[in-house]
Amino acid sequence: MSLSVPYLTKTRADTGLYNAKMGIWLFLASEVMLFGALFSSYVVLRVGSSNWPLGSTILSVPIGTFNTFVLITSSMTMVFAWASLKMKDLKKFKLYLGLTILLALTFLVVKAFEYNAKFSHDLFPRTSTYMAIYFTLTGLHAIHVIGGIIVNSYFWGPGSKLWFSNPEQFTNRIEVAGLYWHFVDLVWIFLFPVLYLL
Amino acid sequence: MQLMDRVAHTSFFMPSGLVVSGKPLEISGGGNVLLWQHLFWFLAHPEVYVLILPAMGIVAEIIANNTRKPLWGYKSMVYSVLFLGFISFIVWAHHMYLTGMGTVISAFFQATTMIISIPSVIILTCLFLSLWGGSIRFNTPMLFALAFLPMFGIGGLTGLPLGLNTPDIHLHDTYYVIGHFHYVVAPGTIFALFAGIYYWFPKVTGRKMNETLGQIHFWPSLVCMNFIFMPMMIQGLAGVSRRLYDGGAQYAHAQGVLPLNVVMSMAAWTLALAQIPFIINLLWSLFKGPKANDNPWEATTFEWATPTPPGHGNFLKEPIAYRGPYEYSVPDATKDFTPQNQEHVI
Repeated sequence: MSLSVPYLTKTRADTGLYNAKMGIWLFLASEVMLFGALFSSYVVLRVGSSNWPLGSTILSVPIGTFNTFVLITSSMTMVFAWASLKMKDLKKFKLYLGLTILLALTFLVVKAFEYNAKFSHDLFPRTSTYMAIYFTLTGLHAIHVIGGIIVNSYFWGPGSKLWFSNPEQFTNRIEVAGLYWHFVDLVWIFLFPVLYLL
Repeated sequence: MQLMDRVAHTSFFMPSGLVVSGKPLEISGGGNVLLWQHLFWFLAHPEVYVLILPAMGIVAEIIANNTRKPLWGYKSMVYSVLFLGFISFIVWAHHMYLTGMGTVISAFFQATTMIISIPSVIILTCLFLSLWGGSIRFNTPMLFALAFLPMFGIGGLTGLPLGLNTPDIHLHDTYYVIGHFHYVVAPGTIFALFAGIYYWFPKVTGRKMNETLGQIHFWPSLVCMNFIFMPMMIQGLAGVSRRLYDGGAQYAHAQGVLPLNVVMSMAAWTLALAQIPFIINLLWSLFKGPKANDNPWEATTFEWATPTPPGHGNFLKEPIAYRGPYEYSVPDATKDFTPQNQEHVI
């Protein structure tokens, strides 16, 4: 019997998924718990507060909207990158994954300017419970964006060598990285209305 | 969030208007103290099911093997486990009846807590009924698995008064809670782990553990566990708080039951001594134990189809499952077990 790991590309009969996809869904489920706990805390803190500020009076809605579009676009390019691999086009894949990484960096740069603007107006996590939950949630989200950039950069650079030895497995890796990226995007889509609009 | 409270000086868990040493505290306030407990128990309650569910799996496996019978009510057990896993997420605030979170919320969590006892009882009942009419082999793993049943049963049943919010007013933060918890986790989870170690040791190491030492380990452990945790429940019912360093020596209501501490201490030390045969057994068997064949317990499941100890990749050739995992005592078969990977019943 060969000692290679089974179900890297084939789907298992009992789960209907290949290994990595099973793994990422379990990981994302734990991520849902993490962000779910923080969103629940947001609700508890807001309900118990007598003077919760309207998000749009403190944060810039246009900048937030811009960043939302940046992330949604990056989710699209991520899908294009995966689709390019499905169509056996490594060059297009590199283009689209590169765009995804650039868009993610754009998001972080804009976010950094936003943070800086808050600090210059003496708005810190310790200023109020609203600012506390704002910095905690967006900070944790930014860490996830950085994680995504690191993973995607690996697949753009040295990781892409796998394409030549096992293209199917590499395509699966990109699909799984994409699932994570869509999750990070989705978290932002909840964060934006909760913190900026409501 | 606690990290943010410490590092970035947020006040997620600190309300407005705190005064320390006569001075108002310099914080933004607006935080919620109860939120911390809610988050803690939302993690920590499902976590106790992480402790008990694998233990139940080990016990079920060992009971099927040593009764030489299929598990009774296997499907209802599986559905019970799934239901337990789901509902364990919505019982957490039964730890918080006395926090002042409100009677309506308490009533809700009392209801879910009573509901979660149903699948637990189904699982335990199935395991008990699995013993009926079995040709039981009383080896060390089976003894631990059998002891799990009544001990976890006591642990579970003593949980009911705690889960109902009225008796909990009396029992909250008493030694009764400690007794209840340890009946579930010590003779429950830990006995299941011991059972698992004795059961799978031959497969892992290729050598059998000593039965005599196993029995010398088991019987004192079982007796001592009861002498430690049963007196705790008696003390708790008498109202002894678990938060006092001296166990409540200055309280009148504690006087009658405090001498039980001597019993508990003696039992605890004896329990520690009773673990010595286990440690000796473990180390001695590792090097000097009699060699085990591939299937020393005459079991049916796949792990016994590997070489002993299993090499890299476990199986010599990819195994095929010809039947379910509990083909014990099949009528008209010459052996009382038919492994999953065996093509024909012989």
